[in-house]
Amino acid sequence: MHITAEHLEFAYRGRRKVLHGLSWTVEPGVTGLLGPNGAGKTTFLSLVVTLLAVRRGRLLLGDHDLSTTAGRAGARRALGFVPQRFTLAGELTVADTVAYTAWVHGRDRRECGNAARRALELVDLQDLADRRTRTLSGGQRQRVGIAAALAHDPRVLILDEPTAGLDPGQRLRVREVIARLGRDRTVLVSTHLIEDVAHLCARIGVLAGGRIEFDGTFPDLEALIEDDTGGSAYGSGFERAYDRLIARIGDRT
Amino acid sequence: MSTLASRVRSSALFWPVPPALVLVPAALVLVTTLAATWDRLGWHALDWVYLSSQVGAQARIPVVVSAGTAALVAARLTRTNLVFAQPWQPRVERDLPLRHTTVVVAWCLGAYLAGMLPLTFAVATAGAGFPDLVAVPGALAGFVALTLWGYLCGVLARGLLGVPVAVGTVFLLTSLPLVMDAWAALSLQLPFAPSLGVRESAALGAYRLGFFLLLVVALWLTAVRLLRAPRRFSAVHGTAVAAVAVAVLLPHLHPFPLVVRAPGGTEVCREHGGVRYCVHEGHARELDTITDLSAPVFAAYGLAEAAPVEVRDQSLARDDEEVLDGPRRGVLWLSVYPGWNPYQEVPVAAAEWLTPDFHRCGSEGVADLGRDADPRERRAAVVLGLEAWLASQAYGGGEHGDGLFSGADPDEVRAWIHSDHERLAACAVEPEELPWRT
Repeated sequence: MHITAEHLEFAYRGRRKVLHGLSWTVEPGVTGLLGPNGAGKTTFLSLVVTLLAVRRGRLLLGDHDLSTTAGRAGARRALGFVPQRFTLAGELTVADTVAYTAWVHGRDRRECGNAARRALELVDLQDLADRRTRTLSGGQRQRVGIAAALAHDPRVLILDEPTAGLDPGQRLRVREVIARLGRDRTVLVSTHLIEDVAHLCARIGVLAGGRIEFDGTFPDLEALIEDDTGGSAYGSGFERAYDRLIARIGDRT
Repeated sequence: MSTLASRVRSSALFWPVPPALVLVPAALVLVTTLAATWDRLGWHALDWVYLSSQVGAQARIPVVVSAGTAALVAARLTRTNLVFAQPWQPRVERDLPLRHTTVVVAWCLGAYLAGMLPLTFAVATAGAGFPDLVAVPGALAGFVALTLWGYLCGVLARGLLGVPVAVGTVFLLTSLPLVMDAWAALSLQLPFAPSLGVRESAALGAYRLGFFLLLVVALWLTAVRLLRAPRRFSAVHGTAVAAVAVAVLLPHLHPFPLVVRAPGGTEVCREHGGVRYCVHEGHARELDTITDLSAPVFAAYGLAEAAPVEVRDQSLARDDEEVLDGPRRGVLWLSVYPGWNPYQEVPVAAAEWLTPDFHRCGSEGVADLGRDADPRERRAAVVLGLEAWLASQAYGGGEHGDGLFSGADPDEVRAWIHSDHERLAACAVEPEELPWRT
């Protein structure tokens, strides 16, 4: 299932525009969304997950036109979303949390147990099904969030900074899970971490000034960085070069 | 993991609320209701009119618990940063609040009704009259509406602050009728308990039912709007909220009568010692007690013409004027109501009938036997002493009347009443004039 934006514009009430005619297509597989702070990443994700209404331009999730109420309703059943900051009800078990999420996504109550089991298997958390969520580590909580987003078996998964705040070991496990999910889904990952992008994403979009300023593969981005800044791939030198490139794209727009 | 599906399925009665979140409040509601009604199971003169009003009155504390629970559920389970309560998720807008409030109402209201069962059974076995088919649904609709108000507090606060706000506002709303009559149309109860012979005014009951149904709609639409993303203006929602505001104002501008007389009950009568005793058929069990407690008092007074022609149950009165006119027509109206104590109230009422109102003695309500007391106060003490002595004759006499009548021979008292009847009625008898004290 594709995510297609055409000439998408958005401004919060009484403020200046955040998105300026954004056009982009996200294809099945794992796609990274990069961009400096204030570029409009959160606004774009909020439009995709229907938290905000599309007023100008077009945004499609598969065949669902998100500028219509019916389109939004259809899209909501087709997507899963893990926001950057989310909480879990500490008194609930992992299984109950995922099962409840399946239900709020429209699953019949009697199917939710099985849906939770399948989702927990996808993120390797089946052994923690009966644990209270208040006892989980940061990485485990993140995987519960992903399992909850997967509980209704969505074709599109949106992840906002999925590895932020995790230690290297946890980050690796979450990345493995995302890579696995991308094999048969459209996964859009918004992140600040170049390492995530390098390991996960078949394609990358760089959002700056309300537009997609770069759309290509990681090697394309790597080449651009080396050409522009002389930075080397990976390591802290690469990170600095990447930051400069993002800033320069931002300045240009 | 093999047990996961069956374990999740087993919670159908609570889904999607953690069981403890409703089981504990439901138990509290049950215990509170049973504790508040238990002593009433043995009451005299229970009837359906009373029980119908109690469905609202006894809900005063349970509905506070229910609203607090709903606020807690909303605060814990509708915060938008929870993985299963994000505003874009398909069921968050309607199904989630519907399930939450259904589970809370079902458990709390169910526990409340279960707690009311023993009293209902007691009324069904011994009581008279008919259930009020407007007051009872009004009270139940009020229970649902105030629980929904609690839920809205939780949704609005998005945190535990919603719980004390819900508890405080619901307690205030259920208490307001006790302070101001106009609120009776907007709350669960009347400022008093009606019983056989009167009923809650139909206009008041209908208004209350309509108000609570409207409130349910307005609160529901508001909660849905708050949980929806993106939020849209809804004319229906705006109209419902405005209608509630108007509905709150109306009873203050044009207050409803709270109760009306409900005449038409068949009377059950008997005659004893020249006095006719009549009660509402629903109070037939009280007739012998009333007769047995009144007749000795009238007999102790001795003057047949001073006794009433008829002792009559107020539940039979056609209107208030008939009751007020009772003394002129020789009718002693007795207030027979659920929980009344005939052994205390009947002898006193009979004695009060026979003796003059001691306020007429001019002592400004003071009765004093002291040597230095005002003569009017000393004469008032004679009247009060006689009244207490007469009441005591229902049980064969005893030490009563500040010692004035202690040890007095009933025949001597009767003879004195016979000779001094007119001076006694005029409150002109001094304590020293009592024959057994000279």
